[in-house]
Amino acid sequence: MGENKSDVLQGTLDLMVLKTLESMGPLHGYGIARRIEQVSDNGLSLNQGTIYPALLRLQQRGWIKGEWGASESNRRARFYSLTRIGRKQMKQETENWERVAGTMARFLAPSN
Amino acid sequence: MDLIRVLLSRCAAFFQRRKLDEDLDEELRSHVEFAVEENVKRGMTEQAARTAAMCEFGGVTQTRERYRIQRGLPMVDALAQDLRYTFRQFRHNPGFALTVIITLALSIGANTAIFSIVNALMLKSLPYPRPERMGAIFAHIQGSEPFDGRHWINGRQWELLRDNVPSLVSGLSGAMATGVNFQAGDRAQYLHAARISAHYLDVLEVHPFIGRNFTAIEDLPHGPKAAILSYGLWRDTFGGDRSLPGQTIRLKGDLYTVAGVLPEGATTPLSADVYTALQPSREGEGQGTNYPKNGSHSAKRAQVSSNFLGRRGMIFATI
Repeated sequence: MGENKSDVLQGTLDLMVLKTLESMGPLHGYGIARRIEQVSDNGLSLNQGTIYPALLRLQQRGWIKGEWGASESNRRARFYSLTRIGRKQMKQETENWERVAGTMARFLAPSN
Repeated sequence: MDLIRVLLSRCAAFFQRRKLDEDLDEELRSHVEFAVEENVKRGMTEQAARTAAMCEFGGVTQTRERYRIQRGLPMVDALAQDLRYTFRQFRHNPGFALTVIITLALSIGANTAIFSIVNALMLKSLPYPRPERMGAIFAHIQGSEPFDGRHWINGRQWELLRDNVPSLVSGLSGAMATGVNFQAGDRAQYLHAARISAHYLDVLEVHPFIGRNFTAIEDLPHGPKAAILSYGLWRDTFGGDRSLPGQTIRLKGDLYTVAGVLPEGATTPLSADVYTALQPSREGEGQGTNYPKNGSHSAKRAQVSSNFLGRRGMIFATI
């Protein structure tokens, strides 16, 4: 593990998964994990395994659904995609996150 | 909303956990294979690629465990496991199992029995108005002979109480309801009949909802024969005929005038279908048991009981 990697904040992984599925379309677990690593420019200390409990949590809430399919390399894999509820919830989660991030940013801004 | 959906999903998962376990294993396997494939493409050897893939994944077993706990109903799982373990142990050691089962059965049984009594005697009040003013009357006998505790009062004492203590509403009933053959028109039926004194229903404050209670004359020896019916008998056998009071029915071959009908849900300690007047007498039917020759011998029909709940005959009174 690199010293400069941040832990994934509780709740942020779910939103990362949702956003990934929104921009990439149906994707399997490995694809989602790789995508998150790439977007974060390897700045997150993320065990790829932790993606699975997050995927389960989102499925249980009905925000995403998983279906077995074949990959480009013809490997059997479970592909996840956003549901209608998931799309709606993602908007709300995004707003929440932006609000929190905005607040944090104001705290961290150099005081004038 | 989310909570319900999650719970439903967990329940559903609980019942197909074997298939879901296989699915998860396959999914995790395919994840690792994707990683290996990509690492090999980058120029690693197969062995190094696999090691790197496992390292990036960070613990397949832990992931599987976390996933499982989150997926189903882990508490129910654990419970089922414990139960299976219990039954295995019981099979291995039937003597011990039998001891445990009998011990549990006896203690639960004893507890239930004791609670039923406590519940009936101490927790639930009697199904009558002002139960706290209701009581059973006993005789306390003093003398050279060692008598202990309470005795049924006898017929003479009963008459004294009834006629000379105006602050008491005293009632008296036969020891228990007995089976009688009953006839009305062309119908015949086997019923439980009980004999009660004129003010018995006044003690309980149960009043006929049509018709009337027994009159004092009806309770005298050789008085007019009258009967009061329970609601159930009136509804089932007489079709809820409101003009029934005043008509006659035949009990044990004798004609009785229907005096009244008890309201729905009204119970007496006797739980009879039909009540007739007690008509306590010193002669004729019952004779010696009706009225004892001496006071130490209790009268069958004038029994007094502390037991409100049993079907013992009793005198009780309200102040």
